[in-house]
Amino acid sequence: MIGTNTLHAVPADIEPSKTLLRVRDLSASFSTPSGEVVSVERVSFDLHRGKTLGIVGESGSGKSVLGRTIMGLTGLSGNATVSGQILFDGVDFTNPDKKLRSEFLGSKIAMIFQDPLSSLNPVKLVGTHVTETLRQHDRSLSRRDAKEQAIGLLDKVRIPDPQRRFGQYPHELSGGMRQRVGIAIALACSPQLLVADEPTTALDVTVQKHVLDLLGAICEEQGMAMILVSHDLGVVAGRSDEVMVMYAGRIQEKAPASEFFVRQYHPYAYGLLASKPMLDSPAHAELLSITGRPPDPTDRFPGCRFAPRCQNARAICREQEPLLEPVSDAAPEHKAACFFPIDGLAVRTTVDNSQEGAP
Amino acid sequence: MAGTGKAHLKEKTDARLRVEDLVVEFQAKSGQRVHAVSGISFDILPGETVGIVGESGCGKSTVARAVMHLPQPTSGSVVLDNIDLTELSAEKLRESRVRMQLIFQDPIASLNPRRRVKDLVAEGVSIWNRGDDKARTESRVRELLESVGLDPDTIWNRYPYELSGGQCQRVSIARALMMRPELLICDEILSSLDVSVQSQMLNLLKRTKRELGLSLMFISHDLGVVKNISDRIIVMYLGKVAEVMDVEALDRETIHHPYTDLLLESVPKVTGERVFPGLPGEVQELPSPLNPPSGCRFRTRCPLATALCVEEEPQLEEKARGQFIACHNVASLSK
Ligand SMILES: Nc1ncnc2c1ncn2[C@@H]1O[C@H](COP(=O)(O)OP(=O)(O)O)[C@@H](O)[C@H]1O
Ligand SMILES: Nc1ncnc2c1ncn2[C@@H]1O[C@H](COP(=O)(O)OP(=O)(O)O)[C@@H](O)[C@H]1O
Ligand code: SF4
Ligand SMILES: [Mg+2]
Ligand SMILES: [Mg+2]
Repeated sequence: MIGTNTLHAVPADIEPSKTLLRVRDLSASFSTPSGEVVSVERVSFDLHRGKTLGIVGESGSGKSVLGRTIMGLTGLSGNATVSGQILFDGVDFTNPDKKLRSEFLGSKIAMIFQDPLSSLNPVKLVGTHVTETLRQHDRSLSRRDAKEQAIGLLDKVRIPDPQRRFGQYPHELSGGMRQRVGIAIALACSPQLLVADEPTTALDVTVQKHVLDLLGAICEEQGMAMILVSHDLGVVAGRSDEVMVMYAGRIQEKAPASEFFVRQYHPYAYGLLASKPMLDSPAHAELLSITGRPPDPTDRFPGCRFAPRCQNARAICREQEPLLEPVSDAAPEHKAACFFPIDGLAVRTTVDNSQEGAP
Repeated sequence: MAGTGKAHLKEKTDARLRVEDLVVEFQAKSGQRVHAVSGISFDILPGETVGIVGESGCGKSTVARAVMHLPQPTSGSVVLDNIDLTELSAEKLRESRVRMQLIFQDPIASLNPRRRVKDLVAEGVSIWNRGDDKARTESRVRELLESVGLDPDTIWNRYPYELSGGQCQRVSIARALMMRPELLICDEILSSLDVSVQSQMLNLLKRTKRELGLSLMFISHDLGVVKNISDRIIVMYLGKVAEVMDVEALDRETIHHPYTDLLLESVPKVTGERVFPGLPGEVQELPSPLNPPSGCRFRTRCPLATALCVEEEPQLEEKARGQFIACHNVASLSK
């Protein structure tokens, strides 16, 4: 059932009841006329059943490619190379063949995107999108039962008047409603993992909260795991068990959310937080500026990818690649890829105190 | 029909911009009227930054364009430095309009793709102030590019497509400042930028404003951004003003208009503690501006709505120092 790639046996140390997704040294690159674009580089993490992993990083950092690679979709572009390993529930899903992919997509792993309209067919009724997904996975389902289940799903994602919405076209719905339809379709076959790529980026803050509440409640109720991708730390805050910061294709910091938002070790992760204007900060707060911009993904310079923009960089940062490792013995789960990690908590406190004294 | 009140307006003579009873209506394809902006009043003092927040579709961009008379508002007055723009001839209006500059969200689309950076920035001046000689124009363009954090030598001959979004936005700002405006209107100019670029732009705008004594009208749907840059904040809802406040009042503790509260509650707290709010209630979306609710426009989504709210439109009243709220029932709120 695995096709061309080797079936990796389930390593003995995986407790099948706990780890749903195991990613090891995953890289994804594209050959382009201007050179090899390395979008994801040696990414490793585990995701446990029912847990939410938040992935943040600026645009171009490789979040979407990582999400699509986990979905087994990156290999579909002829110019892409995927290496490393993805084990989904013990099954190698690194470069799935067509059969394995269609077996898994929808029923085990599902995805929602920033723009749900791009994945909805404009000439198909909202309801048809949902019933088709349902019947694809259960061919014995009658039309009538499919319709009933679809209306149940639309109701579940809090779409008012689901009977009427069932018979509307996607363009007749607001952005928030469409995203809910996207979620209903993703949930149709009760997947174990939902990859949500910037699901609220195009939505107003009131609708964003609604959609995030909805996703959280469904994960909890169905024991579904989620990878929540956003460029906005605010979106993953409060919604993730673990947080991963990506920069230029690499994971720079990874920690339990409760740790991460208190203290960041990587200067980039700290910078992301300190440059974000926040409602809960004082008015006119001075914001940190991270000068420069992310490196060209075809430029394979040695060392840390953040070094050209980093205030703390020294010679070693331009020579060797820092590994993602625990910074303090007290918090072994809190890892950063930096030779000179900072203590984000201490830095922030100093800055706040000096600002208070200012006129 | 009453507007939403003017209790929040400052002394007429103090204001750089004073907008009163502004109404903008469009003709929809169906022939119905779109009530985009329905009688709002506000003012901006010299050197002041006024932030405008509200969900998309509430009329923020329409207000910005109406202030610029692009197009002329359906009714109401727009007074810039004690000159009522609505009464000016087309020619006089064009002169006045130069003193206000509008920058849009989409940085690349708003720049002429066939012109180089140096010409884009100099453009306005070469059209309006033909008296300025070439050398002086050039040195001013350089100065402005530097002040918005761009290296003139690198960027001088580039075209917009050769620039990143953040660089385009800087060019737009330099271009606007070239006109020596008194009022800069920024419509969601940071919304498509990454946070690191966003913070650079915010710091830049704050500094430039201070140095030039500019007045700023800053439109954004992001409450964090608005709190960072504004001195006063206007909360708009469906073509009306719901609340006006000094920036210090924009927090979760202060008593607000129920709509401001809805916005504030929706903004995530950036902490690691997980929230498990359970399944949300049914969605209530912004009603259509074709047929806005009677009385208080917020009543269809308001947890405090009473019979009075259906019948009568609430007026802006000062509920705390520097804080004006248009709500019949806000006094009954306690936190
Ligand atoms: N099909 C592709 N071909 C070439 N480069 C690509 C392709 N898809 C993505 N990239 C590049 O990979 C990098 C990461 O992109 P992406 O994952 O979309 O970033 P993010 O989602 O974090 O904004 C970018 O530099 C992007 O240009
Ligand atoms: N030229 C127009 N013709 C018809 N309706 C318009 C036009 N411009 C704006 N509108 C409508 O006016 C309302 C306010 O729009 P806008 O000012 O763009 O809101 P915001 O900037 O707050 O998102 C919306 O319902 C919008 O659809
Ligand atoms: S209580 Fe009434 S007046 Fe106040 S916001 Fe709600 S509906 Fe409007
Ligand atoms: Mg992306
Ligand atoms: Mg707008």
